[in-house]
Amino acid sequence: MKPYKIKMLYSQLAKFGLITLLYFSHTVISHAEPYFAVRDGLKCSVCHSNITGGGKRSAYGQIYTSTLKPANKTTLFNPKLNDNISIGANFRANWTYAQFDKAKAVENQTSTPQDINDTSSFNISNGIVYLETQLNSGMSFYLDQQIAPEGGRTREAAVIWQGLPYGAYLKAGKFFLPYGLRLQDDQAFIRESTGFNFDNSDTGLELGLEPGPWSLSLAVSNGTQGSGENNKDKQVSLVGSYVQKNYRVGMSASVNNAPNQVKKTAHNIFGGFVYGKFNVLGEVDWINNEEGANEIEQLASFLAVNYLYSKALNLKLSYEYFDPNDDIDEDEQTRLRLLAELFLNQYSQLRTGIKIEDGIPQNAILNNEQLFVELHLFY
Amino acid sequence: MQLSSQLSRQLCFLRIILISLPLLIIGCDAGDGDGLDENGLAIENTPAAIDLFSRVQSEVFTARCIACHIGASAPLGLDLSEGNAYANIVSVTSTQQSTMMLISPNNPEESYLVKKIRGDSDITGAQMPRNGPPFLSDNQIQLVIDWVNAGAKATASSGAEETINAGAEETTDDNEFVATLSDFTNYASWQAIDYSIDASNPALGTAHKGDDAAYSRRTYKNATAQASTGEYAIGSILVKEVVTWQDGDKEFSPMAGLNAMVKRGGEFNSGNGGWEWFDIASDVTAINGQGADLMGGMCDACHSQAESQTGGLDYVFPYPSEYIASAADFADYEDWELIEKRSDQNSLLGEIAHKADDPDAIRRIYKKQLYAYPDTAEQGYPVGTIIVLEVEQNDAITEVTAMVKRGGTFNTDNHYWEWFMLAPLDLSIMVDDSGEARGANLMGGMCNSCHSGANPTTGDGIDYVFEHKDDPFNHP
Repeated sequence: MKPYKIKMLYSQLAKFGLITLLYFSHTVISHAEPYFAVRDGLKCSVCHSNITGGGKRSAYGQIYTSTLKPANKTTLFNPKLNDNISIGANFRANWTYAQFDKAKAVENQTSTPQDINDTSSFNISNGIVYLETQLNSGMSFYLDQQIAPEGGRTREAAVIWQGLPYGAYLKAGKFFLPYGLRLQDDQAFIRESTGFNFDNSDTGLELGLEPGPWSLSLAVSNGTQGSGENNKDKQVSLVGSYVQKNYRVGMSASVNNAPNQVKKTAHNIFGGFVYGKFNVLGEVDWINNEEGANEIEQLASFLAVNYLYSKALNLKLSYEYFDPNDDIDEDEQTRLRLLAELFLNQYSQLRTGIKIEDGIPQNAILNNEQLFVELHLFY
Repeated sequence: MQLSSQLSRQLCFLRIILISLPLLIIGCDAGDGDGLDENGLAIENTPAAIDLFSRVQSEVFTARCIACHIGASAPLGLDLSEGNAYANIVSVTSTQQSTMMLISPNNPEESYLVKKIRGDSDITGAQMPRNGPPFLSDNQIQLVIDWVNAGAKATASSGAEETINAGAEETTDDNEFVATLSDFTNYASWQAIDYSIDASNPALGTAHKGDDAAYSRRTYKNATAQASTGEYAIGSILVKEVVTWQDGDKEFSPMAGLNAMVKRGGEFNSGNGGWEWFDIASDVTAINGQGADLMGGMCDACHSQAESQTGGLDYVFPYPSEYIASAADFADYEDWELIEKRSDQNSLLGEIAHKADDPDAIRRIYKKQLYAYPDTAEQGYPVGTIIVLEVEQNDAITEVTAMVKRGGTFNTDNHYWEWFMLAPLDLSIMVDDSGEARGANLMGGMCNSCHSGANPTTGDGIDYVFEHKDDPFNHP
């Protein structure tokens, strides 16, 4: 990172942290992301209907947020419509200000560097509704439907059959493949470069086991990430983890064979631990894209330190590193974020923070500073 | 005391983090970009972008899209990396909105990709790129629109460019394209232009298994060939698969199962259009043979007839193939594979079709090429496929009808099928006041109408052919 940026960051951190801490010092908490699971030593399946995490909150996830509210625990709205049908939703709207560095000219080229104007924009990053129909004690139908922005699309539609022998479950249909930490941020390097994110689901079959502190999920899918299948090649994805109250470790692997000698493999290790009000989680991914004799090796990593300032307020400092091509030197990219995540009540969260991206100086899009505020509604 | 101890431990931990994080950051800093272009590629390996598509690739796809849209796990299977993007978008149906092409040449308003990058209100899902804002600049969007308006042609290096930089060098006819194995590895993602079986082209003879009804042929062309008008541009490649499905899986012919013709140009094979012929291993791991005189010059010899004998162009036979059946094609239908015999009152027949009004009628369906495989919904059965239905009443054959996948430009609204009524006695094509009882609109269009119900949506069949229990493939 360039020295002036470090200076600017620390200056902004200090101001931002002080203001935030003073302002948000007493409210409530809710759970939604991997750092919550790490903090409480829970598996994803405890709070989410979809066993591998993300999406609709389970009955436990719903109750958990309401019990943490210090005062009024009643609500006019109950997402559990009856004993068999429940719904859920996520809605995120944000304002982002982005400031881009001047692009440096490419060596020995006379073309003008492409600068990017600063932007200030309101956005709906997503609007999702969920439906879960409990068919019997173990079998349910699960739907994750994106309704905003713009036209809708089905992200997940699957039958989930839990309670099988040895604590196993089966999932069949279209779903997010099991791999790595299921971060909310699809643009995190570890999610973007591996292709395992909330914008990328696939059709197939998933088998899982959750004995004691262990979790293991194995999926076989078309590998076409939602487009039609036209061959017999398949993608295999696997994630396994060992979860304890104060720490967890895990690993994932995936191989996706496509026609014409196209193949993508990825594997990672991830983990997290708790220390008092701090919790730390991280992941390192090794990715290999092959196309015939051509091969690109990539490395992506993520490290986040969370500090639970109060029951309602989490402060997060995260750092990401990405090498898009191991054969090319000096093309690496980094991101540094400082976030404050405040739960306003059991159905809403305010997130605000700064993000500093660094990449090769010839490309302005890779070098920017952003300030954002996001309102997240959920049930 | 306990509180003080706990606070002390936490402060210690905080100190560790505050010390280790900057060290981590310094150790894993962003690259300084030395020797790289704006996309992070080595400058010496970066070709000058002189044509519209090269600019679209460099300034849009490589710059903004391939962070996600690359490789085997690209979202929606849409790989936009260099060398793959063109074949995946031009005249390719959108997965999100199947009524639109991702890129419809000359028609940006009907190109779904243009709508996605503009964020039009009628798109499905989010505006692209996903990591916006900022989304693409007005200049970047206009570049894509300009390219589409100019016909969405391929790259300069493949000879089908739309040059926009007056100072740039234009590709000339003197260029020579020397193909290597990597030029073929993606062939199956190119546009498929023909799918045929049996002796669908009279010029075939025994070539490409034209005499073996168990094998079908599918031909693909690369983006350069696709963009060519008139004679094929240098760099054009056509690849032909010869395969069978006898064991359920796709198997290439052990002899010449994967062939290619490449417009090499330059001084190469100038007496035969500059074409080079290739025999490629079916798994595209090796080139088994190549040259002007491959197969003892047979490739040159046969393909030189393409224009004069069949209406093809520049050593390429016309496509899609068209098979115009005659009465002789049906003469031995009873020796073909019987794929179903039934005498029930099938509701799909309505009340009258194929003697459905007779509860004692027996219907037998024969398929000439048992391994004719409708492996994609778009193309369905290969051209040349023939299916015959006979009806028996009171121990006599009273009706014989046939459907032939004719191809070409015939009956395009109804998947290229031609319908026939045959005389049960001599299997000649029946004749009525308007001539032979054959065509696209036989029986006032009733054949088209009824058989259009055989599709995967209804679950009753595929490509106008109803499901028959002994057909190894048609089970939607």
